[in-house]
Amino acid sequence: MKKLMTTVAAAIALAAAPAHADTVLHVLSWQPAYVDGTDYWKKTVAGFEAENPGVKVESNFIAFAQYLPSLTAMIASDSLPDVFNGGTKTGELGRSGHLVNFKDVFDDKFFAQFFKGPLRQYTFDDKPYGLPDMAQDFGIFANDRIMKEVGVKMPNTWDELIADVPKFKAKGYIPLAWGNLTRNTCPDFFLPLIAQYGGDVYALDDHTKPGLSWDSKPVIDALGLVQKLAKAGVFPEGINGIDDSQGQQLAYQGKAAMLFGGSWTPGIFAQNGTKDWLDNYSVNKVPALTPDGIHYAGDGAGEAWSVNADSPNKDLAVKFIAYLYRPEVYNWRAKGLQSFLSMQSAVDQIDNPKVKTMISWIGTDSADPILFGPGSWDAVSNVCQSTLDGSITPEDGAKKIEADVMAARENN
Amino acid sequence: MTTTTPAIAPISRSSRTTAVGAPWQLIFMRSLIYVILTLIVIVEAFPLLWMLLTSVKDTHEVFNTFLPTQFRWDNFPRVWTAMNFPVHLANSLYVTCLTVGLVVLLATPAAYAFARYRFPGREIVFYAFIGAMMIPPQAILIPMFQFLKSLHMLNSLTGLALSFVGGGIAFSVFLMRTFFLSLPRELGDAARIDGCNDFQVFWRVYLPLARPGIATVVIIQSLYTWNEFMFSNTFLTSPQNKTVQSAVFQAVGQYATDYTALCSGLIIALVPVVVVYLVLQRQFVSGLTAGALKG
Amino acid sequence: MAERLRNPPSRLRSLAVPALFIAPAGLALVLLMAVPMADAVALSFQNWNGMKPPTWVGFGNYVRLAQDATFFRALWQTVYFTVCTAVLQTILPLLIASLLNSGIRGSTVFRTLYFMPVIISLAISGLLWAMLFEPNFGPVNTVLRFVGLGGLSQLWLASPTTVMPSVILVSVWQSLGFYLVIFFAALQAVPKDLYEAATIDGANAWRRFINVTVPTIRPVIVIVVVLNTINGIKVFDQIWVMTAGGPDYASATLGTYLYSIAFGAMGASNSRLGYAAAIAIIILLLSIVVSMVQIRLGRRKDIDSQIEV
Repeated sequence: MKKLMTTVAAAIALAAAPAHADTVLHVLSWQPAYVDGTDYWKKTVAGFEAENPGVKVESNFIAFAQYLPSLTAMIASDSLPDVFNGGTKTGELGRSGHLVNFKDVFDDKFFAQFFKGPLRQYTFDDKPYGLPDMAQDFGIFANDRIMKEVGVKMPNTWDELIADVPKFKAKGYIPLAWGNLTRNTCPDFFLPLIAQYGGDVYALDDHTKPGLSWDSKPVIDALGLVQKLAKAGVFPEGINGIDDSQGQQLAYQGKAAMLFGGSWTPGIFAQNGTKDWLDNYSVNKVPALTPDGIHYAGDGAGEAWSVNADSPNKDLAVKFIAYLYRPEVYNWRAKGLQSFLSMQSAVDQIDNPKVKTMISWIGTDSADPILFGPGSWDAVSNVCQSTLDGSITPEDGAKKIEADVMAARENN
Repeated sequence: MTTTTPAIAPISRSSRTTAVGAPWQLIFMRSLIYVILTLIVIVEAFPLLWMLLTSVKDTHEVFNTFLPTQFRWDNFPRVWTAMNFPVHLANSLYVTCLTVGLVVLLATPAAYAFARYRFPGREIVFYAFIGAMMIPPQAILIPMFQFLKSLHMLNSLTGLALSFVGGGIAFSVFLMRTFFLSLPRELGDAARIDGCNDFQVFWRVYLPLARPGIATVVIIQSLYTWNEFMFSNTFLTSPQNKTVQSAVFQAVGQYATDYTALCSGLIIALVPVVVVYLVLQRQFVSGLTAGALKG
Repeated sequence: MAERLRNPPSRLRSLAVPALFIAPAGLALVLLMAVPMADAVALSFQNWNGMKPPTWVGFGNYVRLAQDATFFRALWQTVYFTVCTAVLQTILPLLIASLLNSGIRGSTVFRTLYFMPVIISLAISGLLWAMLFEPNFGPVNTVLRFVGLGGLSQLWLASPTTVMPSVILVSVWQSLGFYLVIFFAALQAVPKDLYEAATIDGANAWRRFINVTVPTIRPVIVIVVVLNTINGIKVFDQIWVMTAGGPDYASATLGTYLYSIAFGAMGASNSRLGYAAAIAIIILLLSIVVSMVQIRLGRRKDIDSQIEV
């Protein structure tokens, strides 16, 4: 029966196949904007196909919510596309040998075009398995009108922020809004704090240095700070039940004085923000530990392209990557997405001066907010969530992260 | 369905109240019942009302006001083209029809056999059948993915339909067996005496009577298939192949959700299902269990 | 009472005909369901992250499950969820169906309105309710404050104590209409004379309900309970969309735990497909055992009723 079904299926497939055999390059992303519909992607694809006759680029996308499970299924059945966003799987995929090591195919001059932080994000054991497409860093957006009304200047240190809380509360404002329903934003907030306390998140994620453990002082201190802030009333109540959109709403509605968000958020303001917000918001670095401390905030790359090392079209795929990162071609995407860039050459493509400001921080105040090691993300986001609502102490939290990470690595 | 039989009868039917006291108490009870029912409607309908209102709001107003101040009717045509509805509606229609068709075709005779015949091993086989409906879909996501891949049916609407058929058969057999059990044996026995063989008994006698049961299965299976999200999103990758749910979920971004697009898209996606339900509604109601109680 | 005419006595004969009726469906099930299911069973005896070749571990995953505190928490929460929803989603629809059946007007309109939430997919209703439950100015708390019940406003999905009840509420909200329609149909078919007889004997409305209605529609009640139980044990979609099993596993059920083991909460890099498959097998076994028990208990070999469930 199965043979019959396979034959029938093959017959159907043959009947539907095109008459001529182009080489098809499969590209997969969770960015719907990369799939037909935007001018810049159309232009990008058309340009590549023109330079390479006989090649067709097929761009597919899977919605973000389902992307990584689908990728897992593809990995499990050896059906990875040629070029794709590896996401948080990039590290393990690369280490298992399924991805092209870009150092093998590109030279130092090529890598020098990228901002260091985003590139570092996708480099494992000194091998870049992904090339960042769009990057991000984080900051605090403040409603200057409310700040003036409350009589508060943008706090430079965390202690200043805590000291200002009563002033905000007196006028009925939430000091700093954001939401953690999806569990993603807390690590974005918390991990760079480890850097502020002198820890090295990249190393913790790799977990290869002997004696290095999540159960260490910088981590405990960072968790402690998060909990202190939560207890002092800096964050909205029930923050674990608020998602990112709702956190933004608190700012738009004038219920919160400040909003913690990434560099992609100004783009969202344009779409959803109220007039009061759009007229009055300013972008600021997150507070530091001390008046002259470094204002470490997360930076990294949300999307990076990887190439399937097992693909028969590997060389063609690499060629496509090289094409994607030609400055002129990259500029099309940069201008179209108006998001944060991974390549320095494209800074002029950004229209929004506030985003430009955030980009300028990326050289000095960057720290890793994305984790790739087995089990790391789950471990950290769970403990982070419990830290926010006070159900776990910083010491126990750090121990739990370490225990969960070790358990996950052992079972791998 | 003929007369309504009150399970909670008006008080006046009781042998103890007098004719004088009856009407007021009747009105009171009736009003109370209406109030309770309406309160429940409000709770049930409130989220849907929110969805309806949001679908015609401007994106800036989603959380600001309950009622829209400006009616953006253009959300619907905007979403229709942006989410490429014609293609996706057609895809969903194809998958749903194929799945429902296969399920009805295969499950009806099986349910009939479980109801009418006694044979050794019947219990075990029946439980094996309905066991399939207890499998959590996410458990077989990857095995199903590998399975479809081996059939070269990844990214294929037909393949997706096939992945639904197993669970669909299980559930439908479960429902329809009870339905068949309620139909009188005498009809079949009489037909046998008249010389019909087993298949003719099924085809000529019981199948025509099975319409309500089949309508039930059609509604439930259509609902499930039309709304299914996990398998459709995992197995279908190219934009031309996606179903309506995938299209609508595009509005749910990684960081921000366009609620107006989501809601208007959802409403468009709901229309076919609501139509199916309204059309088959009466059959559905009578099919679910009406027969189960007839002696 | 009709007699049951049996088929001619030959055992082979008694198998052949039903086999032919059942075979196509059985074949489809074997091909389309049993094969992936067998893969899942085999997977439960292996360790696999999808990227490197799998390794056999025998019963290792099951042993580890027996020591996994989070698994037991998910198991307990699943039981809690299933019992609550099975009870609420059986009793409430039955009571409301009775109200609808009491001769009031507009019952069709009510029924259709109640059915509308059923038409929405589980993922969507999860999204909608996550938004409604938002603590600061989501509609639920806003309405409570508006009617002066502000003290009752909760953190809903944000708090470990209120998250399970919130999730149960959403489930009841969604399924009410479905089981309501089932019960309504059942009630419609209860013979009038039974009620009249009871009334003559002096029974009031409540007594009639308990002594006439419930026993008569007993097979339907059993079906509803079984369906609710099966759905409860494998519940996943709504909870996942609303809380992903959080905060910190406070709303984790076997279904969500399975998913987060297989794909990670954010699809994180750590897929433990074998371990996840073991959880799936537990779900399956649990469902089978519990529903078999329920069906057996619900069966009534009554000479007045030819109905077996």
